Amino acid sequence: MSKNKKILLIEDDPAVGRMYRRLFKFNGYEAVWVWNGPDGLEAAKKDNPDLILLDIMMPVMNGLEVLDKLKELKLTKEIPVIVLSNLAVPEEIEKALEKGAQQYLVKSDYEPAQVVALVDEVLGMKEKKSN
Amino acid sequence: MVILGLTVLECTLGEVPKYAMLLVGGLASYLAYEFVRGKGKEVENMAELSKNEATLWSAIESFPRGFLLLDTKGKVVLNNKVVSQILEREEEEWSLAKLDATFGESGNLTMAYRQCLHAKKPLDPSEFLWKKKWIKLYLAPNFLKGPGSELLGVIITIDDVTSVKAQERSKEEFFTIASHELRTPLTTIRGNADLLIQFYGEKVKDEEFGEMLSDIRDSSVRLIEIVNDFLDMGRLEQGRIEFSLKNMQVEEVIERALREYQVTGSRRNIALTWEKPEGKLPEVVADPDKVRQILVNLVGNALKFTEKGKVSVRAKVRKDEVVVYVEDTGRGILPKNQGLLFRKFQQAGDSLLTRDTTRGTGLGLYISKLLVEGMGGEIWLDSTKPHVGSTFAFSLPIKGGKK
Repeated sequence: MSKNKKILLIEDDPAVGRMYRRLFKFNGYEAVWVWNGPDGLEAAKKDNPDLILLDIMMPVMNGLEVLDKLKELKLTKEIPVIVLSNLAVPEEIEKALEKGAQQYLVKSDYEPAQVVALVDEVLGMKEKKSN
Repeated sequence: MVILGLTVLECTLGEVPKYAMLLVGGLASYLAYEFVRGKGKEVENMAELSKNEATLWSAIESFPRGFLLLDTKGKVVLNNKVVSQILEREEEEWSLAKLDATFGESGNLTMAYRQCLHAKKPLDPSEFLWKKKWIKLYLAPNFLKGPGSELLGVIITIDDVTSVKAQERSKEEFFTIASHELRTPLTTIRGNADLLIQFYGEKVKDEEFGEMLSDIRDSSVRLIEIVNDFLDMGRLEQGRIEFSLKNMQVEEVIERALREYQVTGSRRNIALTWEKPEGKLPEVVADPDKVRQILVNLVGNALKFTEKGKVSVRAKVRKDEVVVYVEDTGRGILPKNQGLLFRKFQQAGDSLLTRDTTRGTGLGLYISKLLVEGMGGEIWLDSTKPHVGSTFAFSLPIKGGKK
């Protein structure tokens, strides 16, 4: 299922970004990584990803704002979003889920294999829905 | 010479100010005594009296807090200049009415004064925001010769604690930011180590290399756990963790939590069992995530301290609570260590040096205690026997039961 799926990763920390890009590449996904919200919105429109991994704390435009914009646009509102953060504040988690994120994960608490499993799960849900 | 009429006001004052308070309080009692009885009647040496009085006045004036001494009729017998400095208003003599007018709705001193006089013991210090200052008030009864003796009135001190408040806030912010900033690099260390083990482990046939990698991975996981524990503890202590209480079945949470541990248990040849009660347990009012966290902690501890045998989880109804038991066949806990179990940074090892072998922060049980209590339950060591095992238990209130 994971083969040839395209993941868009919006993450400002270069080491974290590289690590996740590597993780998805190793697991047979195509991964696109951008540094900030505005670039992420562009990529979401242009590249038509199957799933978006979105960081919360970012300069220029924070993850929750990006999420709002993604859910506003016709072109991008159906793309499932998993919110990534290291800010394990319950209010933030709830806000993200209210705004339409599929899942929320605290980066440091997940090992890479679990992140892939979660992405597979969300993509599976999407597949079921469209069938 | 000086009658110490003032009970200790508040332990958080710190040692030096506390003694200063005692001294000033004592001197104040002495002066009030003179006021009440008439100067000099019982004092033979007038020279000594005036020297004492001068010492008393300078002590009260030098005391870095607003200080007021009131008699039993609510009249201000004396006050120092600091009162005027804090309240930004020049008054030769302060009164309860003037103080109330200055504070407005924020602090009603007349009422507090009456309460203190009536209760005959120090009131809990109160804090409020006035203009741009944080004001802290202490009220204590002033006895002639210690508690229970003739009541002379009330002592009030007014403290500007704005800078202390600012420090508290920056400490909270530090916790959140530090945890975020620490977790980001830790995530990359852990993640890359995992990826190396997963995708390159087979390619590199060097035992040392593999060991180095798993050490890096395990250490980063441990560091992340420490950061999480510190963050949880800080938030719980500051009351910044919200409990979303709802009606829930505790069985479901137990089953989910145990699934997370099946792998660890079987890896070490320790059976992990859930002795499901016959029939359904009544619903409890609790926060499922917090219950899960407590269980993961108790089961994790049980597995950690059990060399061989089993860890089992049971649950039953007791009065208006559901009690969950986590039993192990570990080494047991010595009586001398039992009292410290639920304290901060304590582990039931024999000494500080044994702590490290368990690889924990010593915060797990303390955090569990705060979590259980936040939901109106209790946590305790139910039984323990050397070389036989220990049972830990916690309770959760049943829906419609006690508050």
